[in-house]
Amino acid sequence: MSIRIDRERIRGLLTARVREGNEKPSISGLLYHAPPLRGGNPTSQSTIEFLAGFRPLQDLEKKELSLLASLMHERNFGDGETIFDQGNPSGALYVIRSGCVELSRKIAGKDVTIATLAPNELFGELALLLEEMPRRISAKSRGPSVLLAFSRPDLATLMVRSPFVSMKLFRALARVVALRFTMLMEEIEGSSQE
Amino acid sequence: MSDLGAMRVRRIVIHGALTLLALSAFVYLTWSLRALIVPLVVGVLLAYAVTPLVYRMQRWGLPHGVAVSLIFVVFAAGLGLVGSQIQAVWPDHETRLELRVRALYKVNQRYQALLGLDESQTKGNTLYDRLGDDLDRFMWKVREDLWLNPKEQEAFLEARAGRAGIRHVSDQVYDYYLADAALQEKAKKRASQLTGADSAVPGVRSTSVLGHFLSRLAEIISLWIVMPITFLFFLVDQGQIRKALLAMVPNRYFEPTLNVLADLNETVGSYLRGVILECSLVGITYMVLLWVVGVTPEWAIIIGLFAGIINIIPYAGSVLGLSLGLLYALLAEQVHPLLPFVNVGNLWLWILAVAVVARILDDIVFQPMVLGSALELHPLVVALGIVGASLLFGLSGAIFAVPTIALAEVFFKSSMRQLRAYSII
Repeated sequence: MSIRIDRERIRGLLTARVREGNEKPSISGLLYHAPPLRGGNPTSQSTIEFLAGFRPLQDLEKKELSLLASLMHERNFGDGETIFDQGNPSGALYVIRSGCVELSRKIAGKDVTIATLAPNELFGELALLLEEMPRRISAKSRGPSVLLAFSRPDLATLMVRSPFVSMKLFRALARVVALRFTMLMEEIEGSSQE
Repeated sequence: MSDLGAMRVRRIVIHGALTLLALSAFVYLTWSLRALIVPLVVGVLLAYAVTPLVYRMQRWGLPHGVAVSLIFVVFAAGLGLVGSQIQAVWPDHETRLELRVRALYKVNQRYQALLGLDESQTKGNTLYDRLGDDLDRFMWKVREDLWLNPKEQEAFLEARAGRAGIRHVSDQVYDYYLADAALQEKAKKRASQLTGADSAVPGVRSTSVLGHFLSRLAEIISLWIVMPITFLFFLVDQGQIRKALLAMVPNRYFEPTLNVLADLNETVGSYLRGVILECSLVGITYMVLLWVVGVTPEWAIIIGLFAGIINIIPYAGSVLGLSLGLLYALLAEQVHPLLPFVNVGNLWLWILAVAVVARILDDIVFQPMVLGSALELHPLVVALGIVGASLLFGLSGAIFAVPTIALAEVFFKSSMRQLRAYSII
């Protein structure tokens, strides 16, 4: 299977994201950014409305989103509160409804921030794909934030209740992972050309 | 102290007081309504067991509401069918009197045959010479329970005399009654010799035991109304209860809690489905085998049903199946077995064989097949757990001992594993 890569679009998306976050561009940091998505004010929406505006799930119909929303957990985090630590077992993926989340990685004993994620972005999706993989990064809330969590047991329930919706969800996850992989390849290619 | 510090103290005090209040209210309510716990838990577990069926029906395209309604209708119809089946063979007052007359006659007959007693009931074989006094004392207690008190005798004779020209008591049972009455006189004399002057008035205990049993039955039925309501309530739930409970868990414990819940879910699920299947298989085995050895189909179904249900308590199914079967063998006037060599005389032996076969099948085939590794508990733990729990909580303790121990074990192991993995402890 071949993937058509719109290099200009991806590069545009990446630089826009880096400018917004005022961060030093880094390959690993860019990896955690899903494509930017447009939506209204997330806090005033119902979870279903929020998910309807969430681009990776654009293939899901309202009824299917409502099933998915019924399985997700809304979690409120305070400023600086840990969402998960590097080395923890990976149990759930998170979608940011409001607020910001800082991702960091311990490098040579020091916490290095690798990305700051904004609303409408998701992280921790490998938890649903690789069962025994511990978290490779730490996630902290920057300022108060509201996240939607979707865990492996929730995925198991979804697979029993609707294999069709879980198939669509897997496709969405595959798309996110593929996009991140593409970005990484682009970045490696770019830096080798420079 | 700063304002912030004072506020913190106030917050802790208020939170503490409210938690304590909620906890005391919870403990008080649980204790006062403890009789409702078993029907409630059974309702929840049943809903839990059939939830996969709801999901399956949803996958076929049925809306959740329709699937739940269908299952509830089938459940209600099943309960109704079982209820009517039991009611159909459940003896009325007169039939109960007849049954007791018949039971006493048969018991006396077998007792006499076993000990080679003569007409006077005082001379018998060697066994009687050695253990006669003790056996007679025991038999007197049995007779006392079975024999009719004067009021019941009156009712029995009235039924015998008949109403509107129809006799409700057959000649055979009336003959039994006369034989019982004659023997009871002799037994009474013998009992007064054995126990001293006057022994208990026969029949008094039996009525009170029966009355007590009936009032208990009514009590149980009114309590069990809760069960279908809980069943429906939890069947309608689509994970909202779990979600609401998880919402109360602090963020730090959120992921570990999810994983522990998933482990518990798997244990309860596999245990429950396994046990339901095992009990059904045991029940069906009893039904089929009892029918084969000559028990009438309706009684084979009822005995199988009770033995299957009570088999939730390990080994109790065998005990109940055997006891009910032997009681049937004692009272049976005739048998229509599929096997040519079974007759009224040796039916008890065949019932015993049925119980043994059912036990062996349960141990060797059903349990390994349906429970598998769902429950890896040492037999000693199971036995001690059942005895201990039944001493503390009675029948409900015996029923829920094994799953509770299994759950506690999984909860403890899984919690420890998760807390360590998340570096909380």
